[in-house]
Amino acid sequence: MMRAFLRTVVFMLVSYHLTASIAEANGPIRLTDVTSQTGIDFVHTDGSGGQYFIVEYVSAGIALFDYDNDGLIDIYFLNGMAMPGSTETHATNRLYRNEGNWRFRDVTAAAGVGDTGHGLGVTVGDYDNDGDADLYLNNFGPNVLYRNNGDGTFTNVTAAAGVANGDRVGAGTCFVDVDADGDLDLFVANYIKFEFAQHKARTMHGFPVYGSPLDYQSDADTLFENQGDGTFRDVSQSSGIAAKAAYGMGVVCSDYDQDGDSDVLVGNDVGANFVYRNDGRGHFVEVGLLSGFAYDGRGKIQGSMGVECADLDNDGRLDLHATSYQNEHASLYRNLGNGLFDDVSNAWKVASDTVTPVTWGNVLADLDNDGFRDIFIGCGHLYDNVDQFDSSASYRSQNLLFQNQGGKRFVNVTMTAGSGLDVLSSSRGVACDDLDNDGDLDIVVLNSRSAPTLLRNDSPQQGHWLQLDLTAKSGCATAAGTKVEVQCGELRLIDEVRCGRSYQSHFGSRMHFGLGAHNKTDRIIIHWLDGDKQVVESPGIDSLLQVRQP
Amino acid sequence: MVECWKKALPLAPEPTEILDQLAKQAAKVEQHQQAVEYWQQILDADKTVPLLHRNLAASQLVLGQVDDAIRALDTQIGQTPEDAETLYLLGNARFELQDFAKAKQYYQQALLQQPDHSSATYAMVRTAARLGDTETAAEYAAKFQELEAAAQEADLKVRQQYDDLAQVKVRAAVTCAEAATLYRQHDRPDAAVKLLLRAIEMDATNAKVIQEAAELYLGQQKFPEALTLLQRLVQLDSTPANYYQLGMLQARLKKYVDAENSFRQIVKLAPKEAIGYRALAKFYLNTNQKLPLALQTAAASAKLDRSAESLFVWGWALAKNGQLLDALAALEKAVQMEPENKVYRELLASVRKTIASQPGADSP
Repeated sequence: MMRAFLRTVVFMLVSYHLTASIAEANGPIRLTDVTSQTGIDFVHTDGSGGQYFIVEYVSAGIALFDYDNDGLIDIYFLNGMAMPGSTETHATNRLYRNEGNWRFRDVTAAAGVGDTGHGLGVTVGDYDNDGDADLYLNNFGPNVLYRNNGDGTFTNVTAAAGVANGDRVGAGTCFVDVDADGDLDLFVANYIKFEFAQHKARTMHGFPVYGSPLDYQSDADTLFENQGDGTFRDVSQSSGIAAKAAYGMGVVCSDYDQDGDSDVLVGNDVGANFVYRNDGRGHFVEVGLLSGFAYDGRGKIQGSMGVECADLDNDGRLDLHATSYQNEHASLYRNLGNGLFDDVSNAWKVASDTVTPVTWGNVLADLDNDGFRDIFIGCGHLYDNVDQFDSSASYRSQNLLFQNQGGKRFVNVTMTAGSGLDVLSSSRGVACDDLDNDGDLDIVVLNSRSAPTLLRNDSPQQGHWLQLDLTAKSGCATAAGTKVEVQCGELRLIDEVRCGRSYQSHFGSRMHFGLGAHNKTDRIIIHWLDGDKQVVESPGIDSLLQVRQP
Repeated sequence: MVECWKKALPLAPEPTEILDQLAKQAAKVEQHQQAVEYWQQILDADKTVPLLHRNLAASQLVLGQVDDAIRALDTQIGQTPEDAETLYLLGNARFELQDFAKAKQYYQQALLQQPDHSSATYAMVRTAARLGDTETAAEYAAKFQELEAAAQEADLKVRQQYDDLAQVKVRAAVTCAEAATLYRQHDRPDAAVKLLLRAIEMDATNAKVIQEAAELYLGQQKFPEALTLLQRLVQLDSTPANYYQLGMLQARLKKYVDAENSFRQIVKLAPKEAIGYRALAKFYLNTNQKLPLALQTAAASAKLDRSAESLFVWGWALAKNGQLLDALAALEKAVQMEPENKVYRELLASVRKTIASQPGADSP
């Protein structure tokens, strides 16, 4: 009798949940939570042992890349290490091979990428131009460079390459060819100067909480120049990168001023964001304030987290998006040209719904293939006990999804996006790529202290699409800085190849363009970083196009 | 808080203040449409709310309602022509209309009124950049960075001091003590004591709370518990009154050595006041020990304080030391001052009787 009753109750609960999800999955973008069917058993730890070390909450990014060149995008999750007082043991980063049909297999040990350091940031790039993607980890503690051996395994070459970057607190990181010499250099953001002995215990409303970064000294970022022989040289001082210290978080590299070289944009916590303008030879001047990206529209400092870049209004210029702390809106900066940005977060209606949560990973991607890039934001507070003293906040919260409605206006479609947006978690790194090669972009979210979330894109009435996989003539499989313009009738879409982006993550090695109703592509124009221009006429649609620089 | 204001709104005879708070809170969390609606309600009812038009315009600007914002700002500037924030917002409105030259003028006016207006300084950077005036942009960028550095420095100082656990505990202790008062008033001493003990646990430095708890224990005849608290109390708050209370309890618990020390402590703390000497004298007299000392301290008390009580104790000590005639004089004065005091009268009668019973005595 009791068992029958329980079955009924369970059925009712399940039915209710399904009904609720189905009822809500009626929006233009639908993301279905398929985590449970993927075989992914990764659970993130920040190593916390109750002492609230500041290096815990910043937590980690995620990398999506095809490590074995089998045409399927694989997933690499960063993980934390046990902090003093923690009982956590044997946490490692994990690599999951995409086996197709939304099944993934843990190949960490076989691939040799199970770093046990405190993982914070990650980037992927073919630094040795051998045609496969290498992996760089920006840790709290020594960083790690894994060279891809091309056979499904990696070798830790950190010491030989000279990129351990001391014993610092890392953040975002990017492979970027700063001097356009055909090999990828390495930008490494640093957060704070911290040692356990310097730990400051803090309380808020009497509850133990993490200290502020302002409790510690800020740290300058690092630039390593690739010397072309498998080694790197620290050029932070001579390049101008180390001229200023700040609390670095997310990083993205982009030719924001369209002068033909890769600039570096850094989201800083509790301080002005940086725009490192490249002179084309790998020397930088920080121009964040004059560009308009350093502060929000009112000149206020943001607690910036993730930084992303995309042309959101299809005007041929790359706009910027930076997530931020609670009670600050995530800021959207329209690129006005001439190296200037304007905070259009309110005007484009993406501000107010981002004020309440702490926002982290951000993805600017065309999730419904309508030709306009949408915004997905990972959310979650950093205090695990915030619910106890702040009724407006929650450690676990819903992520946010904004649909781009024609370029200058966004609508929050979170509540109609299906089960993938029902998940309550404390998200950090967010990444997107086409995990099932069906032409639309799926999303992977790293959630602090819990399992990740894999969201399959099940959006209805999708438009056409085109994906590009570019290889430079140097052999570099990740030709960072290469710009692409896709022309379909009146539609002009631009993007760049980036290695490292958003909140301390990497994704998008394969470029994706939603084409909307256009059933043919007129041409693709590729501006390789070395100055070569390549035009591909009538490249087709709804397919992955592989292009090698002649 | 917002929910409370919303509930209070229909009940308030003058809702303007509540609406203003609701609007400001809505603007703070960037719910500007809601803010505008609240401010419009105020505008309909009471146009005299300070800076109403400015606040309304700030939200309207965020919503892209530039023309409405300019109208509101023009009204505001008529009322407060030197308000830097209004001038800054007027600049923002012109900036939105891409009238950068006019925007610049307003920002400059704002900075004339308030040279450290950081948002206006920042706006000058943006406006100059939009006008292609890189020199001015750089000039204001430098000023802005100075202002930012000063603000950061101030913020850093606050943060470095920041750790609110101690303050929270103190506030929570006060709340517990206030709740305890309610329980006391409703004749629930057990619940009151429990709360007071929690308060003491959170804030062991609140002497008033410790005293209240001790008093409750005394009322409940829980003397050992009261003793513990009073011992803590004198550590925190070494007043003659607290030592007196402690000494009295120690004497009651027959901890005579401790009691004597407590009373001596009073003398030490207040050598020019009678209370310590009198307490010591009474203690010696009650315990019938060190009677010469009782006389000495009682005399000191009576010398410092010619109150009925001091005279009584002095008389008592004199009597105990066999100086009956002097005792009689002191006690008569005490009774004269407090004729209704039964104890004084009884002792006076007793002394008179003793004197009368002595051989050769004619009269007291």
